[in-house]
Amino acid sequence: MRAAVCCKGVSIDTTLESVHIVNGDIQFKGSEFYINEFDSYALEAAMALKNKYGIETFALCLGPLRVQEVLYFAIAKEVNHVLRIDGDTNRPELISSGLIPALMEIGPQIILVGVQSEDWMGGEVGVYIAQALNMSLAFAVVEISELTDKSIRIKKELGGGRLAEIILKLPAVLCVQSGIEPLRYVSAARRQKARKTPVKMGSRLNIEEVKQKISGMMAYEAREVSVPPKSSRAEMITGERSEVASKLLEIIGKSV
Amino acid sequence: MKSFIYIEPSKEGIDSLTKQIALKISKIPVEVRGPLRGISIGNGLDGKESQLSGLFDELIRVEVPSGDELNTELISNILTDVLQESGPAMLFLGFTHLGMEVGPAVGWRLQIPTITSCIDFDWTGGDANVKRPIVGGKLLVSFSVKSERGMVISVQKGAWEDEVSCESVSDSVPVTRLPWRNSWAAEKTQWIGISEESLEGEEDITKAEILVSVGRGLGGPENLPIVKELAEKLGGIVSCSRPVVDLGWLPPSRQVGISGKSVSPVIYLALGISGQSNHLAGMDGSKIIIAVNKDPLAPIFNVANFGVVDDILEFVPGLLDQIKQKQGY
Repeated sequence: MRAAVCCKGVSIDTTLESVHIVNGDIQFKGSEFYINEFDSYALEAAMALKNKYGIETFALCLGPLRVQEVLYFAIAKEVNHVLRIDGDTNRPELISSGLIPALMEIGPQIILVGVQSEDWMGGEVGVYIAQALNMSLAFAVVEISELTDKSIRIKKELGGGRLAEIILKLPAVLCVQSGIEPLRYVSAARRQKARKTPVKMGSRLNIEEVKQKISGMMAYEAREVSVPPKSSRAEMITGERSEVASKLLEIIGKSV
Repeated sequence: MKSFIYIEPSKEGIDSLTKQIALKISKIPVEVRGPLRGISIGNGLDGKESQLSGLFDELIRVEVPSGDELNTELISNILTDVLQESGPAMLFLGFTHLGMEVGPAVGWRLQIPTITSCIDFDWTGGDANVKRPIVGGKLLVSFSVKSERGMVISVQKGAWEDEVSCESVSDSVPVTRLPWRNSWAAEKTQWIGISEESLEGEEDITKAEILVSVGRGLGGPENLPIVKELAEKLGGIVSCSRPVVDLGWLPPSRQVGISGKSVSPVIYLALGISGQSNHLAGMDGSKIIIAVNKDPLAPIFNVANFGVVDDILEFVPGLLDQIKQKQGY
């Protein structure tokens, strides 16, 4: 059985100056990228499945060369295979479309994706992959309790502290919530060793070709990136620490 | 064009986010948006039809097998069919766990633009202007979206909480019942059951008047005792954001946010919490929000009533000392 984890590299630099609009798309121009935290939990869940069930694991990442760090991290976590698809986009339709050919070639029974990315924060990619590949889908998975050759039993969040227990037919896409497994520490030495492993390349994302294919979904464009306006009601309390503390206690005392 | 709003099942009948969406969209001229239809799946609104007044032009009530009202595969099947059979249509829904799964699924199946986590929507015919946050809410992106084929828009909780009713929508709302179709049945997923977290032995953060809430800025569980002491001295309870639970510092029963609890205390003291939208969605009902964070750009300061830029590990001991002095310790 095979499991594929789709990981995204997110930029350390998230200032306004680092975000560019390119052909209606958002691109982060920072030089240092790390694995999206939610995808690191998806990776951890995949490794737990590997350890328990002996599953062959693949980690995929769509992005330019600077996101390869994400795959070295996956190698250090002892994933079996890694693959990078060259492309630079933050549009979830394009990311999904770029990953799908590689996923079809791998043929996993389980695809794991973090529930959302720290930069785009939409949670669409796993859902789009499931629709495109006609797979079962579970969003915000917090527990994987049983795996057979035909199904997987999971718990997912419904919000408000409620959980649903579901059995999904395989193949399935699991959008993994943070905290599903504790994140295991990876030493600097292991990460350094991982950098010596060559990374296989998949077919490059052809953005124009994908835009033609899913033109209906692509009928929107980013126009502006801005800083949120400061709320007019926020009052910043400044001064010596003791004065600030005293003021806060006064506010609390008057309110309750 | 037609406009639909998916009404998520809620104990109240129509939850506050759905009402806010309906109030916002109802202000768009009817010649642009078409009739505004609520879609309710299951019997959750039976006997509560009076809540629809002033919100929708029509309610579509879909019959489903009992217990399937939250089955996302089934909901996606139904919404896809309803929209497809209506011709170009807009679908609005909440950016909730359910909405995060169903919205993009419908958008992909219908191949229409899908914008999630929206905080602003402006449409007078032609292209719609939509805004959503990125990078934890530190930045906003404005999009221009072509509307000819319809679109799917999911709305962040609290984004439109200031909307008030308008008179353009009907008082008396006709209800259309859609009978069950076997083609909607979930084939890939089997729901076993739904559970709620047990609060046995734990304090209920939803009932507290004062919450002292900690985030990743706490640094480690070794710093919890001082926060607990602060909460106790203030007459409150400790709560937290998601990362604190993921790191195992506090149990899930203390979590505030989309995945955790929604709280509405008199005082929400946010210590070392950045203010990601998933967290804000759980505490924006607080009467007074006081934020302490060493990052002056933390999004929490955009929603707080009062803010202090400081390291909580330096600030809290001083705050505690002041309380002890006032209380004669």
